[in-house]
Amino acid sequence: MKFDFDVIAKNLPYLLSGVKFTIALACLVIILGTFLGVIFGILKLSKNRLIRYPVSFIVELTRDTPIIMQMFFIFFGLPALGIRLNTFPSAALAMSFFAAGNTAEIVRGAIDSLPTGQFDAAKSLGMNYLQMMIYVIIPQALRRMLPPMMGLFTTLIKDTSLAAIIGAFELTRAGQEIIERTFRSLEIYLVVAAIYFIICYPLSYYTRKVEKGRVTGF
Amino acid sequence: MGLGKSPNPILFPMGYQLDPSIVIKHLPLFLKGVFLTVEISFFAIVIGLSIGILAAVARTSKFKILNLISAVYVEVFRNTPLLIQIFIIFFGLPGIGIKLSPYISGLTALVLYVGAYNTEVIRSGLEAVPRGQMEAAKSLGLTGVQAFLYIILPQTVRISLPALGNNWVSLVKNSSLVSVIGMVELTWVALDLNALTFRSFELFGAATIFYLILIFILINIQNFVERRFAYKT
Amino acid sequence: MRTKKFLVLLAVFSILFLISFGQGMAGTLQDVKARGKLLAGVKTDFPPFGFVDEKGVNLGFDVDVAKAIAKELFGKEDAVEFAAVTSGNRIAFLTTNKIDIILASMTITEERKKVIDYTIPYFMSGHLILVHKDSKIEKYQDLAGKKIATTQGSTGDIVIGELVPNAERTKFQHNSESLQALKDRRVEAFIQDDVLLLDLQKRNPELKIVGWPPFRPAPYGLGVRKGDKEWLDFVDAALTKIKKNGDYQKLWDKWFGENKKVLLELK
Repeated sequence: MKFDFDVIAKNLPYLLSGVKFTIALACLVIILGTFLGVIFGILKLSKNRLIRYPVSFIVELTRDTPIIMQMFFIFFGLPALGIRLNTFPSAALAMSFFAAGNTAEIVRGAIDSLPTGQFDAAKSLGMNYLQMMIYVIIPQALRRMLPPMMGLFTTLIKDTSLAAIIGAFELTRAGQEIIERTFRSLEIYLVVAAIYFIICYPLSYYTRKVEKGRVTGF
Repeated sequence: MGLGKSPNPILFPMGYQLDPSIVIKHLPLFLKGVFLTVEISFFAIVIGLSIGILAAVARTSKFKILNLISAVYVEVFRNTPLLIQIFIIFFGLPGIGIKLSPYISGLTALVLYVGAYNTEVIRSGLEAVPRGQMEAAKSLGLTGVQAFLYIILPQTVRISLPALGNNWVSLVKNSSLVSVIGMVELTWVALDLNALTFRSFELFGAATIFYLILIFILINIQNFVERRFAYKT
Repeated sequence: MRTKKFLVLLAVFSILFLISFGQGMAGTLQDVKARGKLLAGVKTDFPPFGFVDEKGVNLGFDVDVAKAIAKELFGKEDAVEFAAVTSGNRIAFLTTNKIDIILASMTITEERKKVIDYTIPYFMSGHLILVHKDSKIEKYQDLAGKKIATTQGSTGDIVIGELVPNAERTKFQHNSESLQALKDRRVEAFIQDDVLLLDLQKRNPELKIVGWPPFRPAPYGLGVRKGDKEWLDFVDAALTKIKKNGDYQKLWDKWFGENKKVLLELK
């Protein structure tokens, strides 16, 4: 079988029209998920059980189930409770919760890794809880969170491909539509993979640089 | 409204009659799906570990060509979506004459994917083993290979266990994707029953609970193994 | 500590399981008119009912019927936006308000009637079998014990599951994937609606159609949300109108004319 370059050339514009949505979904999820996740992470530290338990519940639920199952549940299942979301919002919501859950864990890990001396020093300086968090703990935690968060971002960009399974239009779905017409699975999926690679590899590369400390955080 | 136990539950616009009996009725199929999820995850974890070790060794090897091949493998499989990898292996390869069954395709995709992540983890594990170990082993008369297999590798794996364990959990979650090539695992069962009965809330809710239970068990196994075998450098 | 969390998790989840409440339904007809365009769910993998050309433009019999309904609503054919659906998700798209109407070669079945309402029938279809030219299979009974492909959510899948339960079925999400499985000889047969297979066979001459005459015929209907009588009546009236004034026959001839002899008649 000959490798059909022609079909790639003809359909590349259509694929790129899907990339717009991939990037949009990824950005939305990253922003929303990180924001939610940091809040969850800090709430989880609360001494109050009424706060800690529900937050822990959500974090575990989103971290320990497949994203695709969360998407299915939100898209197909929630209408039973009267909550009806379209494909794109369903995917965005599912992925945001997944991102939030994982971010919360990263936050926890970062704060845990800080020497207890920091907490003691802050208290001995007379700071209350809020001041301690804002001026001492969070800035240091953020620095430690950066590498795993960047890894999470890369994962999220790749996971936008799952939205195609519930029918949202993005890069993967665009590829599937082209294949429905042309049946050139190998060529089209390879190009789709290449596009994801071009988007993700720079991020991975930069993540490694940050990890090695050659690029300092804030 | 509330629990409806009628054999033919009806969907109203004004209210949804829940019917958990749909899950009970199809429990054998669900369990078949769970079993297949466990089975393919297990094999993927084991084989993926071997791939990870091989690729990590290649990655730290003196031979530039091995180093390069391994680096390319890791980067390609970590920076492309697993879903696309599955599609390429199952739908794309027949185009060049390689036809793998859904099971083998799914397994291959999972193995290659987790293998790439394992490689990075094991590589840092390798680098964390004190250099003195190799020299000491050799001075005791062990060959390079023996030293590696009996002295270095066990320590590497033990150091890498926490991160490896996380990869296993991810793998079980990622196994849900092989449903797209028709493998009758847990997600596929939920999708299939949903297409027939439309009881989405019950079906996907049940599938989610099954995954939670599986992951819960896996995390406990991971904790147990870590407590027994892992240690920090 | 983790055990406790999980138990709480399972408990809360199970409680959620027992909650049920619903939501009132707004009239679709008003919504559509206010919006100024119809949202139609059509297939992209089911020629000649629904498919896309190179530029991504939707084409097909269902697409044209959607345009006719748009014309009834707004006086212009292109006041319609198309969403790509599959047999597996078209009902979900409808119930989540992503589309106002399903025009996706959907067979009328009792199971589906429980969750959506159907218009009057607009097409009659039976099922056939697509195989390779060198295949010995001639009727569906020959499929016993063989590897076959079906598409998730299609009547082809349901029907063959009832008729030949011991066939080895692999189910895919899209018709194109099932067809690919057949072409790659992963399976020996692909079971689907007659009109789809006729179109696929034309474009894949190494395959042939067997299993005549089309078995388990059932009519297609358009799908709307349950309980929305006003919208349903409107669509029914629109369908009746185009049947009476000859537009329906024109569309039928355009898309199915060449297969007139073998397709079933809508009575």
